[in-house]
Amino acid sequence: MPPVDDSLTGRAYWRSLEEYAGSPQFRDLLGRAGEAIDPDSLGYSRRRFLQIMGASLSLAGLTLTGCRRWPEEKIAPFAQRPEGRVPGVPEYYATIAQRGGVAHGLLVESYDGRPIKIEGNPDHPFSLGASEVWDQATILTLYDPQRSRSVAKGPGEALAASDWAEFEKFIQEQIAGRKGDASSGLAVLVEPSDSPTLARMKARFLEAYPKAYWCQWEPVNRDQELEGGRLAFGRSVRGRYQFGQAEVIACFDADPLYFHPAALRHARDWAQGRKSADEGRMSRLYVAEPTFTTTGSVADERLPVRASRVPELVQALAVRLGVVSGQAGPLNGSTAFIEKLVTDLQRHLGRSVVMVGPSQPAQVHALVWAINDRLGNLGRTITLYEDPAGESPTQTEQMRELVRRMNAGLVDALVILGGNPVYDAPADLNFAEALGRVKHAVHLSLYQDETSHRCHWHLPRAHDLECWGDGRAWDGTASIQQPLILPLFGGKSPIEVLAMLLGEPADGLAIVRETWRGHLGLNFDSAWRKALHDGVVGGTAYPQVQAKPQVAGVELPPRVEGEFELVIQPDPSLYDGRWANNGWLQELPKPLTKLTWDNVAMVSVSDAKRLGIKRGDVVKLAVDGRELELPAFPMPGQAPGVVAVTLGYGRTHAGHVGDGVGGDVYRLRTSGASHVAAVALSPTGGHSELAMTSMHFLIDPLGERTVRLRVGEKGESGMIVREATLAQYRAHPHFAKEEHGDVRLQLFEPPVEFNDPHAWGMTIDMTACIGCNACVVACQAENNVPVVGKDQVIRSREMHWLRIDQYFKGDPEGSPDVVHQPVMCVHCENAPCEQVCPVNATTHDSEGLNVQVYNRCVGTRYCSNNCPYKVRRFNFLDYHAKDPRGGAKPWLGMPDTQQDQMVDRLRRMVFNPEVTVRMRGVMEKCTYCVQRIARAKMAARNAWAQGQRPDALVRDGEVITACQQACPTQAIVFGNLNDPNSRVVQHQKNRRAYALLGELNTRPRTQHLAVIRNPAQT
Amino acid sequence: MPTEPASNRYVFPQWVNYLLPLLVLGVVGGGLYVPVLVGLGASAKTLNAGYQPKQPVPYSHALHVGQLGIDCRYCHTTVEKAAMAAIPPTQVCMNCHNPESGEAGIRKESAKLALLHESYRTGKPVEWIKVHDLPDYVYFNHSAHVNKGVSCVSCHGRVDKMEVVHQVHSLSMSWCLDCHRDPRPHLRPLDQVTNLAWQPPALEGETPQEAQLRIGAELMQKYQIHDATYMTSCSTCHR
Amino acid sequence: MATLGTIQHEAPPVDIDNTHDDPRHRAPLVTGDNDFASVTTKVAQLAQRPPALWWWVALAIASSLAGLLLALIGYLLTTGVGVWGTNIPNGWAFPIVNFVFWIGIGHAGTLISAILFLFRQDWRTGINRFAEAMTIFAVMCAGIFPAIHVGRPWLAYWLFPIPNQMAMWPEFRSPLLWDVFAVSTYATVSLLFWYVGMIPDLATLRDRAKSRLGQIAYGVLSLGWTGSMRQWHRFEKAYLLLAAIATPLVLSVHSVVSFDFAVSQLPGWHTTIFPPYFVAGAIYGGFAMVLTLAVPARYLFGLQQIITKRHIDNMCKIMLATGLIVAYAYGIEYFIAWYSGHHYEQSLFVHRLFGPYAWAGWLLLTCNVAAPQLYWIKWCRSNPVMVMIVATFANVGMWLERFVIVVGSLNRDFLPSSWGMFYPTWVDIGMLIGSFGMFLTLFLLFCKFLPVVALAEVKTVMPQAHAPADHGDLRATLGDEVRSGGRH
Repeated sequence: MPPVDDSLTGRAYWRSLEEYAGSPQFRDLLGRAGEAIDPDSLGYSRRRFLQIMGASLSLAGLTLTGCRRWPEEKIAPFAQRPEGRVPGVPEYYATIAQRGGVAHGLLVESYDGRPIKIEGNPDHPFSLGASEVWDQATILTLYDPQRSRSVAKGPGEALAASDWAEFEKFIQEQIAGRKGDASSGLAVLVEPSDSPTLARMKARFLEAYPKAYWCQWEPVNRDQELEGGRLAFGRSVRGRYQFGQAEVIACFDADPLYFHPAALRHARDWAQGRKSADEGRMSRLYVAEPTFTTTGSVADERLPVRASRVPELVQALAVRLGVVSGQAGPLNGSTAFIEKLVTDLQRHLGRSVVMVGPSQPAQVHALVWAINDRLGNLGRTITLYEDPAGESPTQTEQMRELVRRMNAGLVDALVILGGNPVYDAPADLNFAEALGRVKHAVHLSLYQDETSHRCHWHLPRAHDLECWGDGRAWDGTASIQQPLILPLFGGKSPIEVLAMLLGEPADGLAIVRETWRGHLGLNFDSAWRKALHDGVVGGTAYPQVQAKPQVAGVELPPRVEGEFELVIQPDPSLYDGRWANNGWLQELPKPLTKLTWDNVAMVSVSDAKRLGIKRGDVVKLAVDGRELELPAFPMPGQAPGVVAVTLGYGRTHAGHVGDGVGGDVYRLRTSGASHVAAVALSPTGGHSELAMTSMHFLIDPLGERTVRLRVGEKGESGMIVREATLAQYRAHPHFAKEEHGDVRLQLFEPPVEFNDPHAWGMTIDMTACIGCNACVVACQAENNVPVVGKDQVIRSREMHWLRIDQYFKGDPEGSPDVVHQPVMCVHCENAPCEQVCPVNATTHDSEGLNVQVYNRCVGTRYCSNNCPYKVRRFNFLDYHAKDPRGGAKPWLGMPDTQQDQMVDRLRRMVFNPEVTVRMRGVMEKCTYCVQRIARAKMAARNAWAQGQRPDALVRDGEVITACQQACPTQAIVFGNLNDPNSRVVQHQKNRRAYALLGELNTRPRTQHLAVIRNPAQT
Repeated sequence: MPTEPASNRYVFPQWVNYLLPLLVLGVVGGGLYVPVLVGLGASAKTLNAGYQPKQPVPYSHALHVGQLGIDCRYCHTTVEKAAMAAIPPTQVCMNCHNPESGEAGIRKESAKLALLHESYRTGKPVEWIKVHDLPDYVYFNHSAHVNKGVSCVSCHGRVDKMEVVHQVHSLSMSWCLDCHRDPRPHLRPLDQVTNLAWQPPALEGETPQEAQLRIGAELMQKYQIHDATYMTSCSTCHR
Repeated sequence: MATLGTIQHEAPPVDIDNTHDDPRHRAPLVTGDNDFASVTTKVAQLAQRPPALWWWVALAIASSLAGLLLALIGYLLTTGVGVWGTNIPNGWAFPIVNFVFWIGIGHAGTLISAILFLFRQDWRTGINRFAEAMTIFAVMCAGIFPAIHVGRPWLAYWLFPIPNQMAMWPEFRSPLLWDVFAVSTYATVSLLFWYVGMIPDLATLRDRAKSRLGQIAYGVLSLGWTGSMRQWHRFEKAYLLLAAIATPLVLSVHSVVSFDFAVSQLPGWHTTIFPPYFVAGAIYGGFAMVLTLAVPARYLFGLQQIITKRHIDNMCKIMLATGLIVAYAYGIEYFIAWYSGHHYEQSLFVHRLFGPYAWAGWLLLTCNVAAPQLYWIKWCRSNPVMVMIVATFANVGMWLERFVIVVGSLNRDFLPSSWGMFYPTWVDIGMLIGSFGMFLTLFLLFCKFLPVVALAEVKTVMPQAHAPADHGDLRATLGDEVRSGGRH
């Protein structure tokens, strides 16, 4: 059903809101609010209240209305305003997000009770203010009109509506009676989480139901990594990698900068070691991997190698370093890489990190632990922590066991708390069929997904921003997860459902507080409030482990034979598929492929040539009998013989946005070979059109030649990309400026300097950028950027204000370098767009912003034609009203009223009220987050007027743009060019700074910092 | 050529002669009519100024502000801090009109207050009707103006004289620009901002206008009010 | 086929070759055994007799295509410009291409009526009337596209400097604004010029009209023209003045239109040769269109003796001349690109010939550089079929020229990451065809209801117009010549 369908819109939900506002418990909450006994119950009533405010406020247009007596608007003030509240002034609440059960801190901006924007929590050690694409996008899921709205009974395609009361009755009849020994038929399947409260509830549950089977499963897990640790140390450990201190980093099929649970912190630390290039020091990153990962894309020395040969590489390394005795196998092609690495590692004992990814077998992990030990890294660049997994078998083992029990008929009641096993369980286990044998299957999830439709009970899950909880960071640092808004659809969290199973009230707050009552010391309430406020509970890290790895007699597993091997990875946008119904992520150009709305079978360029496969040609993949057809994608820098695919697509019950997008790779994924498998690849002759936001590396030879000219040959500067090796940089510090210096040929100087009282400017450090896309989604969330749909992306009409240009330099069949060049409007002082706009819709303001006035724009598109950076985006259709999976509908009413009428009310809740929502026919572009600038200026001026600060100027760091805030490596710096001490001025003074296309005399306010690489000297 | 009566000779009937004056009239008249229609008929002033919706609660500014002399900021508390000059929560009305506060509750039986008491009991907001309603792409900020010596009266008129509030000015873009190009006529000392009746103290031999301009000029310096280039930048009001 | 029928029993041969040049005396511009009356009859009867079957058929087709245009505009307005294939980087495509194309077509008319008139080129008289008509209709077609191509057409009036409650003026530095003025001025003057020139002929139609309605309609339109000496005197003055006013416009309009591109900084647009190059191109394309209409028209309406082979021949020669100018301009473009040493400029022109739109580039050269060269051969100029073929090539070429300039330059500019192809949608194509439909509809109606040939003017270049006083001795021989169809 399209989101604009009435039955799915928020209207029903508003009605329920009104009712709620009148309900008795609400009134008594109100009564209590006055006296403010318990800050949290107050917080509750407040949020609920603000939620209603959000509702009534969001009814106000949020749209471009022409000049006329517009429709009557209502103002619904609080009956009783919570103290300290100022309508229209956003508040921030600290909470957490969890991926793979590991938490990192968030700050959520709440505008009149509507959470509208998510940032990283600067005080959280594993966020440091940065955030992941998924953190940014989760806000859209919160307001997804297609989220499950009520308890429902199945199984079947259409679930019968039900309610919690009925479910509680079910618990009474079917579950509650099984306490004690009667509990043998019971099983619980949860998503793994380090949450202390979940652990506590698990314990209590198993206390009450001792014979019940407790199973943890998540398709993207770290099983082999854990096993490796156990092999080496005899216990479960996890390594905290200090990339900041490492001078040599070697990654074997690992992606510490993107998929690792601690990626944000890794990226920040790693970036320090890169930016220090300006002081002449720089870490060196070695990567050996089957296909490009984010980490691989910024490697100094990169070796494309089949995943199944990585173990031999590691063994060879181990042998060369004397970790294990014996003879390394033949290293055809990779000798040089290993030799360089070995010398480097030996030169940097105790100052290096060797890392292997979760897709490699346990033995390899064990070996690598030994290598790190030999290099003296343990305790220096790598801190070992006890892993909460403890003795428990791997998730795959648990899942296998669960299915065994189900098939054996030992499970008659299965409670699935989160997750989507029918979709993502290993194909060989055939979970769906086993599920059919369970008498009472209960499934808690955000959507009525694949699993829900095969269960007897579907329970709506509360979104992370709707419920209480807690979690622990990679090093164990704990945080409380607090809700920003009460469940929109009356959903419940896993811990609440567990409480129900125990016959207790499903009060998440009480449950979490109970967990922490013990830990937070005597003065609990204040400690609790502090924990909520900071978003971190100090001193809760896991105990460290001092141990020496024993790897004697570790045998490498047999290597995968065959012409092609399938490498299965999580998807950089959809992860394991849980984000399939999120338009922002579906349309997010994946790193390195720039692909949207699809998943592909990436093959090496040489294989593609040999088999005559072009981009988009459909190929059939066969893994022992299981088949899947996917469009092929020749990927530069991918190892020959590797076919790389990503999970998360081919959903059948994801929701309107996600259904039927791409192909389901889980069908090829077995419990035995969940990461690498031998595969047969055969072209089918079919072709499918791929929607890419940039198509520059597979075009006609002439085009490729031109691109090389502009981007530069491998290791050289080009016209638009300046780069050098560290050595060259030391030799010619001014290389970035030398060629095509920013010429200033003009008959007359511009009349205005655009620096009164501030002069806004930006720098983008291409040495630090890893192309992780966080900034892209952050910008989309902050600026109400619409989703356009696959058909429009194919017509190259995507709306992202910020794009990360990617250029491959060098032989695509070898190991090309990658350049990540983020480009958004550079705010030219001498802007070509401005003088060609016939209606003055784009002009300069006195502080140097090139402003785009949506309500003045008539849409000639002349500005875009004249923009050399092509950063302007045009609303060819009414994208906010358009169904991303369908075409645009004609509109016969007043043209300017379109969005107000046609945008789903619930989806409108996600709009940032500080930013005008653009209608069709209007040009838009990056504004340097003018709304944040305005907010900061206003605050400063008011403070000055009330004598609270000496001047009315905005201080450095008081304006942080959305992209800058999200960036894990702090590659983006924004600030006031008038302030000589501001960071942005320091960066623009940096010798690497250059103006993109400066030779056109556009005088951009945004400058790029050249790429510095640090390849090993040969 | 066939010979015909002269009148018919050129098939140019008498009445055609009237077409000429008609044509002239049409051109001139139309030339006048269009500006009149567009300039006056469809102008923001005609459409917006004087808008006076009936409010759910018959609250009289004339009584509370004009006669009782309650300061604007008693109810519109956030006007100096935020963009919105918050419509007061029911609680504020209840400070005086609270039905539970025995004798102290002023006119608490009055039927006019029924809706307020209802709201106070249920917590349901009173739905006031917005009078001064700017387009959603205009980001007006009260604090920015109030903290710079722009009085309430400049935009809202003599609210202290209004039984039912109505819109006085057009609130059109050009109307805003008038002041953004030259704020002097609208500036006054910060402590006089909410004094709707304030008149610029004139030196002798000075008309009120001159006095206002003099004071305005001084205050522009004092409050560091920006020049027109800054204040007429699009980003000042649009985002 | 009534119209054709009437011509059959005129003195054969109908189509007389008068293209030879004999220094001893002027070649006749009206051939055959024609006197004032016969000329009047031939032209006037077109407006009087019921139209032929083919006319109805043609009108049906043309007007339904025009209807398609209107329908598509409705679809566009309700749904958004996304119904076209335009995108980023190709912010402009078919609509602007069509606009420039039609404006260009408009040029021949004014050129013929104004410049040739000032240069006393008598042969213009035979063709200027419907060349002018063509201009008006072309400009109307052109006018549609800029209006609807903007994202919010209902606000397009913001381009006009009207006092408004936003206290905003348009950006006078923007070439698009110059367009607004240039095109509207051009349209107004051309219309006036056309109408004023028509007044005496309208009077003729009035006098010959049978129905009362016709008489009054033509009568009012002819503003009571009596044909008196004084009126003729005023008329000549007015016409001369209008010609003087219109002449600079011929050059200005397309120069201004070319500024849309020349003023920008985009490689392939940013070049100083555009104004002259566009004007030459426009005249070239305009005459191509006149020919495409004139050649069939003179047969269908039996005007071979008024729009003679000599007219056709002259127009071909003009096409040849302007075609050479265009070819030169192309050459200079490539030369400057190379000579500038500017990478982006150079690669743009390499891509034009060998990039994704190479087909357009080469086809363009074939149509606008190679094809017109055939006009060096006399046979090609005198053989109606050949004339038509080359003229059609030129029309296609001129449309392609604008396509290559607009899309060919936009699709690959500075940052390779933003390169993008343009693919037209069915709406794009429908609107292009629709605009032709509208053009033809108007033209067919014009042929039916208005004098397609400037009768009064044609008569001035007929021998009968020369009083016995001047070259009387010649008169007999000249008369013979004319009757004998000028064959020796």
